[in-house]
Amino acid sequence: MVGAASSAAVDRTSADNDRLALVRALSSVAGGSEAALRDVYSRTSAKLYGICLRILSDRQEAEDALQDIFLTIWKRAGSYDAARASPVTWLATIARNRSIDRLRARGSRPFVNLDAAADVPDARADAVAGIEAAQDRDRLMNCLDTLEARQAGAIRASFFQGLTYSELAEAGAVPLGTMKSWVRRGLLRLKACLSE
Amino acid sequence: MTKRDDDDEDELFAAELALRLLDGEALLAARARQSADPAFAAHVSVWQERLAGFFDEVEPVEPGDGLWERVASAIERYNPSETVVVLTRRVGLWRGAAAAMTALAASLALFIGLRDPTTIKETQIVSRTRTVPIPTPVPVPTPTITPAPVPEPTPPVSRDLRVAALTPDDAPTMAVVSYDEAGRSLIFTPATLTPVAGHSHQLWVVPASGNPRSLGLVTPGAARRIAIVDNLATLFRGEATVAISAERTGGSRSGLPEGPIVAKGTLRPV
Repeated sequence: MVGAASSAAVDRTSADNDRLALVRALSSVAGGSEAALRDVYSRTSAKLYGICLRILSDRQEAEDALQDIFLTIWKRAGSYDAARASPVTWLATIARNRSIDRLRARGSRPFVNLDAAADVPDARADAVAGIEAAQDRDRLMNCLDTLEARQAGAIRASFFQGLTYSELAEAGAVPLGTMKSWVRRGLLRLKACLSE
Repeated sequence: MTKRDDDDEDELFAAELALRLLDGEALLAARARQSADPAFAAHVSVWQERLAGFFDEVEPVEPGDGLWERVASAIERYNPSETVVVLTRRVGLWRGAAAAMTALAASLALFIGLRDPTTIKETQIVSRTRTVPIPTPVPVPTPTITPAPVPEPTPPVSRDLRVAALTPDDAPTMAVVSYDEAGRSLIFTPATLTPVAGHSHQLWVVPASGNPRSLGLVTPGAARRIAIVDNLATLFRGEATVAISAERTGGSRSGLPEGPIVAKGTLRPV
């Protein structure tokens, strides 16, 4: 499978180049370059908007969030540390956090079914985002599969809906302490699996 | 507890912060630790990377046309021509850069200089020594202030003045508070804090140990001076944190934060 191996190597190089270009663009944004922000926008806005939409389920609000997120990136690009986080993770984490802030500011929570959250189909077979990303995703999904369904469901609901322990306990109709120990055991298991 | 248990506990606490499982005091404690403890902050980053696989299952969606123009004009509005923004930027700089002191002193020199040329020299001297006392930190120097004649030679007055920029996660400064120990007063200056329908914003002091205490409600766009009575003043000793929570209209009924913390910062000497 020489062909597949070299094609993977090409994808890998291309992912590295994208990452490097994004790190450079963020560094220029920190220096006050609006053109560099435009570059970051064209490279990442669809991904970040997808995250906002997934969390907020409302196009208008997701667009408001996205505007807010790029303003945040403009102001905080100087605090990005390439040694500590990949640029995409840093940007996506801002998008997630700002979207969850908006969700919390709404003050109302949609009904959450933790079992359904555990059953969300994952996109393992649908690799679209480059080899490296696909590998990260597969590792996380494979490791989540080693957890109990309720643990994986709670972790997923917290990630995409920002549910706190208290909200998870309420949604799962279990005592707070029980929910905490489920999730904590799940997180330790997840860490061990991802470190293998 | 063994060392290994402690490590696990730190890792889990970091994971809980990264996932946003925490609320109330646990959330405040985790955020305070994230800003004060680089090892803990690194754990949080590692968990963010571990969980980033979730982002890969999100399909990209093109935002509507014209969104970039909205971003561009938001940046235009943000860029530092407004006094409030200048103040916010200054506070950011105060934390790390002596240069900010010089800039502040220089702007003060300019301000005073415009009013009274004879005071320029003194102001320039203090600006070089970087020990100029911070002027009362209201957002805009009121034009009615006339510089008091300074008896010579006057060492700068030493006052315990501490400032905190209140910020949410990954976001710009929402408000600035400064606490004047001698004057027993706290000045609250909102920056990007915006109203949330059906909610009131409540200000809290979170002492190094013990429960948060309410400092009352605050309003976006309105600076406030809050008198700190004796029994509250003790809570400001050491590394006190000031936080804003979003509460139901009228504020928390229990005396403790009930809604989410929207911004917080630790008071530090300037």
